[in-house]
Amino acid sequence: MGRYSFLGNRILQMIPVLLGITVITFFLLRLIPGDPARQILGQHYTPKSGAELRRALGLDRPLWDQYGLFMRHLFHGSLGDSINYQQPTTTVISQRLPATLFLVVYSALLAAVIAIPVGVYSALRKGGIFDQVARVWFLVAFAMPAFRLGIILILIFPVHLHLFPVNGYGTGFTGHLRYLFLPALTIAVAFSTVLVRTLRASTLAVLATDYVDTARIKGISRFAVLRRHVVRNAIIPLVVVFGINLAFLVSTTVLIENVFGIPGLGRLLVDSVATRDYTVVQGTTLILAFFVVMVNLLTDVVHAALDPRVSAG
Amino acid sequence: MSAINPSLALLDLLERRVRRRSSVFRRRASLIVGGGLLLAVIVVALAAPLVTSYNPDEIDPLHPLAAPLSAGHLFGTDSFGRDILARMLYGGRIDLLIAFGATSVTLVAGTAIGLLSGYVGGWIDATIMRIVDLVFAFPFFVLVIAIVAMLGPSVFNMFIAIWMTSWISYARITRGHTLAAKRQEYVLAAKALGYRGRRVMLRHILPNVLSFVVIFAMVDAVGNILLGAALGFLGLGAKPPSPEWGVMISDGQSYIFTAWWLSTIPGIAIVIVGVGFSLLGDGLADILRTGD
Repeated sequence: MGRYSFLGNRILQMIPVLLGITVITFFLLRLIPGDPARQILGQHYTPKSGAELRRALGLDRPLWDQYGLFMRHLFHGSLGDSINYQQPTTTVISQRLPATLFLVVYSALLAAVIAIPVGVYSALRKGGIFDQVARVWFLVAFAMPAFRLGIILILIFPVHLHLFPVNGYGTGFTGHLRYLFLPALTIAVAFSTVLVRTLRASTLAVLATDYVDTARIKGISRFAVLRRHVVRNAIIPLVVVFGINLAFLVSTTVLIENVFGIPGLGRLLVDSVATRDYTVVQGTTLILAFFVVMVNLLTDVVHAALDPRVSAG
Repeated sequence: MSAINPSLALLDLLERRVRRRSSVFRRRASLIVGGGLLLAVIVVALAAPLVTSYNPDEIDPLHPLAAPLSAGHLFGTDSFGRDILARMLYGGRIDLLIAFGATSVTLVAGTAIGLLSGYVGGWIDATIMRIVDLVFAFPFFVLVIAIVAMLGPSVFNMFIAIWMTSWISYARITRGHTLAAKRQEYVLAAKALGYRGRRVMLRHILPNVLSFVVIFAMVDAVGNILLGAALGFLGLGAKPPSPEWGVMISDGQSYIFTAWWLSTIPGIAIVIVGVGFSLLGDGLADILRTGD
């Protein structure tokens, strides 16, 4: 199987998943107990406004019609109107999307910067002091609530050292880099606990292979063997694990945005729960799930590019 | 956040192949330390009234924000003068309930579904696996928040949200191992003896698959504790004045400059329980896997 048909196949496989995501998010609104119109309108409920909202949401029609309507709107780029913001949900979401994207990419890069050296070095000095300390540290960090770690970092950097801002998003690229450093570090520490374990295991596996022995016997310097043979191969599983745990990364981002007051999708999601802005909750869930599926496709493509055996089937 | 770790189980196998030589003592050590930590937390949480005479909800306006080790209050008091030790102990009951309640139900349901899916195969398997793939595509935490949002924030609705979403990991793991077991001689022999599907599944396959499930459950329990605390922190799970640890951290956040212990002590407690489950899982994994 060639590389392009591999890619084509993966895209085809995505279609039912994307459709399924729309079905699940569509049914989310059906979970509301009692009369959704009454719940959504809260104290603004009158028989008349209730009937209007029911008609607007299509609640007076058969279920399949409603799903058809939902999909028709989706294809026209509409996710309904936000009750709270008095704006189309897509507008609200697109205003919040950049902060979240920036934070996710930033955290992923920081996590890689933490995980790759620690993972590789732990494997090289397996059982040594560094390996032991790293093991204990990541055991603790894995059990540490990420939001608690965020609070500790706020206490250390902005409060005692006056180093980074406490909350917000900043302006401009460098502003974002500065404002989002602590939140990104918080997420990266949580995320790296998963990556380090993988990287240590895969480095150990690569170190045990014959080709590493061969390279050493050929007299290639230790560092060159490490860079050209070990790290290169050990990182491949990292790409896969990154894909698998992307949902975890996004989840942590949602949580941490709320700790640091970052105007992203996670903050929007939690705020919308409080204001019972159901269409925004539905829309945000849909967008974040789509995002995860898309990036997963990307990691598969990268994986195939790094390791030709994947697309060979 | 159970969706994190099915990969860890697989990677562990990779690691295990290389790491056969770790000493018997080290293996037992993580089991004993992990089990000990958990047991200690469970005992003091259950025996809370014997450990402290304070009522966790009792307000003492005269002694707010007392520092740890001050007279009569080992861990100090919070902004309402409530004894933190008492709140920690009674709150521990809630967090342990979340860990066990969320994990046990999804473990049983997910394992049953995975067993059935893998053993019966055909369209049932195909349907179940498509649902699993779908739920897997969602960021777990986001889906849980969305479900809680629709049902209304409360601890019980949080359970429902976790039950609805995190059985998929157990179903995946069980199905994978069931498929492998189906081709093994002992299962073929059981079938040849004329045993019914139910007996083969429950008496022959399940015991061999269960160890993988239990090991994953330990990691999942850590995830569920963190999830419960995170939802409490965001105001979507347990609600104040509940002494749930995440709620306590959230309460203490406003006093972070003046009374650091308010959010630090529950933070440490969560880490202790989490490390306990993780070590227990590691220890079980070592013993169960080197056993065969």
